[in-house]
Amino acid sequence: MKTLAVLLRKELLATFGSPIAYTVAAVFLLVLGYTFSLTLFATKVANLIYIFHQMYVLTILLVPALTMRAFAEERRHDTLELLLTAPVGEVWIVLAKFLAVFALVVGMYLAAVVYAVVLDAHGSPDWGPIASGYLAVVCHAALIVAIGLLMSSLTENQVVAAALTMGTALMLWFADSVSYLLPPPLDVLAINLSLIGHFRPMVTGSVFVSDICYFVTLALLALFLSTRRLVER
Amino acid sequence: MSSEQSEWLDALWFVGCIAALMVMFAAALRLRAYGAGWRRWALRMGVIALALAATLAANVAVYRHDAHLDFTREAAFTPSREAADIVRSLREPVQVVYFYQKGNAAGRAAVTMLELLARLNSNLSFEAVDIDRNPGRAGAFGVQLYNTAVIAAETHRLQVVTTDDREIALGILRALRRRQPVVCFATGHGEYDIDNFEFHTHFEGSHTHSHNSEGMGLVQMQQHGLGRLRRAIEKLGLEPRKAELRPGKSLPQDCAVLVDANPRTPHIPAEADVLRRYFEQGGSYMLLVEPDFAVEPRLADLIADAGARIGEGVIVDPAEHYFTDEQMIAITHYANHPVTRAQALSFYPGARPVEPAPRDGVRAVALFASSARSYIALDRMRYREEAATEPKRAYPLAVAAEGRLSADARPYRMVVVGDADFASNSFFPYLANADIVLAGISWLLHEERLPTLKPPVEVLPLVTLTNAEVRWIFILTAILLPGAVACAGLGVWLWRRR
Repeated sequence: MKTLAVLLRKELLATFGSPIAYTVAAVFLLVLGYTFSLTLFATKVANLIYIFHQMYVLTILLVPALTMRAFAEERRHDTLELLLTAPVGEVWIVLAKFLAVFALVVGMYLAAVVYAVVLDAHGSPDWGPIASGYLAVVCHAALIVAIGLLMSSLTENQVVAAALTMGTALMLWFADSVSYLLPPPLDVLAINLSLIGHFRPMVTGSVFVSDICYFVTLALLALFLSTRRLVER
Repeated sequence: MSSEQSEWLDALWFVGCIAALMVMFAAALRLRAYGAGWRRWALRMGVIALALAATLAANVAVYRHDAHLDFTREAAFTPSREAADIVRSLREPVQVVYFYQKGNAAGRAAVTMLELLARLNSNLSFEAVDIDRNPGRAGAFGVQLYNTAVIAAETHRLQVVTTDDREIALGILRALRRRQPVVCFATGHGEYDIDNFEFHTHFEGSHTHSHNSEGMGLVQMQQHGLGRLRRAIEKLGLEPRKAELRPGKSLPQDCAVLVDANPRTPHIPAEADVLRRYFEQGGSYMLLVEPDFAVEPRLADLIADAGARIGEGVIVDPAEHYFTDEQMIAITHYANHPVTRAQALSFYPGARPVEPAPRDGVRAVALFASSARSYIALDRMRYREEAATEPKRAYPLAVAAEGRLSADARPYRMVVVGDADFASNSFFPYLANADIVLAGISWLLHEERLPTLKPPVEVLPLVTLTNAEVRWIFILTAILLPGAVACAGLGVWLWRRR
């Protein structure tokens, strides 16, 4: 755990000391703020369902920019070998990188709490779906960050890592669309692989434990495969 | 095991699966790569395949022991109590196949609700079919519309086109019925028609729309109807039918209930004899009678023998009324009777008193009454002038009675309400009015547990904003917040350049 704390501090400093993080966060909040304002003025409805869907899309588009350099840059600068020869387990390296990026994304989401505060000041929002919506976007972010780390561990090229992350997330998003082309039980598998299928009920206030399980287990799988990749080097 | 305990156990499955997965992954991390060439690749692929299989197994296990939490204030994702009660009480297998379109939010919500209902009782099997993906299956069931539930029980198979879990639950009840009770509606005296349009049937004059005493003289009233009540009765699996009281002839044998809703022309004495024979044969009768209608004396005597005395005049209640109309009696408290148990607010636009008249062999209960400050006005237009002299007390508006008219007669049931408008299309859907009249019919059918139908109303939480607030919200969320983050990034960039 002490190893994790040391590595995490290093990764947090690297993440929050990078202008990329602030650029991504500013773009994220600009698009989100714009959407929130226009949606609120048009619908006058005190909920954040549109915003959560927007966060879902922006996470898929922007998080790859945050994760692409995690391993790819270390490998390009030959610092990965140095890190791997240090007396720390590979799993701690992966976890530290995951937690650092995840903390940044959660920080961006926390800034978006201001929208809920605005709704509360001018209306009487239903806090249940807002809470479950935050749970949904946090689970979703954990999965996309984990996929981003896995892709970054597979390639030296940052652009390729970002493209692979985005491509994988998009494939998961639309996985259910191809289900009718597949024979059973693969069609059921494709339907249940759908990212949006597990995300959508949660933002409306209907939380199935199986939906949370989907995000958590896939994130664990991605982190495991990233670690295995480092172990095998 | 209660459903709450079951939810907790299902949540434990989730925790257990995640813990098991983490242990397996931790163990797999200790495997060291060895060999070269295809052996190394085989080991690598084997580990990946095992990890995928373990992840899939964990998801399947949790999906099969899934727990659900509804975070909404309106419990929008929790099956209605009526639907849950019906499903829990199933004693024989029922199959529900729901045909929907995956892209339709209401259809998906209905599928979720049916999945939750199916967990309540193993006798209910449920399958969701996306028509777009499986048109052949829809064709085999004869389904042509999205959001159609095909309900199959041993006795019946029927279709219900809806996204409301209550309507599907009522469809299940209909599919399970061994017989379809007939609810007869009396005709021949200008009663409310059950084949009426379901929307409001006023013709507006120069006067504004009004149901109170001021409006009576000016608003031309077309005949109200019972179309909404008829539709609700059909949904409950009952058969509505018209029936006429004909002197010398008995009512149809299969009339499980006779409803006489707002007769407007006088009965003849012989009709009371027809009704008496119906009572003696164990009939069930509901009379909804408006103020100002002169009840034929022999009929009034029969009703009194059966347990209810119909009074004259209209009740005025200065304390408990709906909006500002003192003749529109609002009821918040009820007697503890199957018709009125656990009912919410209901209202009666212009009601006459109906008192219980118990006697040996007859049990009569006043179902609800006006407040202690109410009085009877004989002239509806000049009721305020009568307020000074009329005695003030609570006046019952409705009576439920049961018993036998004579020792050798069969037991009957009767409900008399001193108002008919509350059940008409104009007022049926509002507050608990539908619940009261449907519960009355259920009691008369000896089916006290039959659920009533009231469509759920979703109210979106809205915000009201001034121009200045709109401007400030935009500046805060679209300019200041991202701007502050951008400035922080600029600061970091400058700091790193030093």
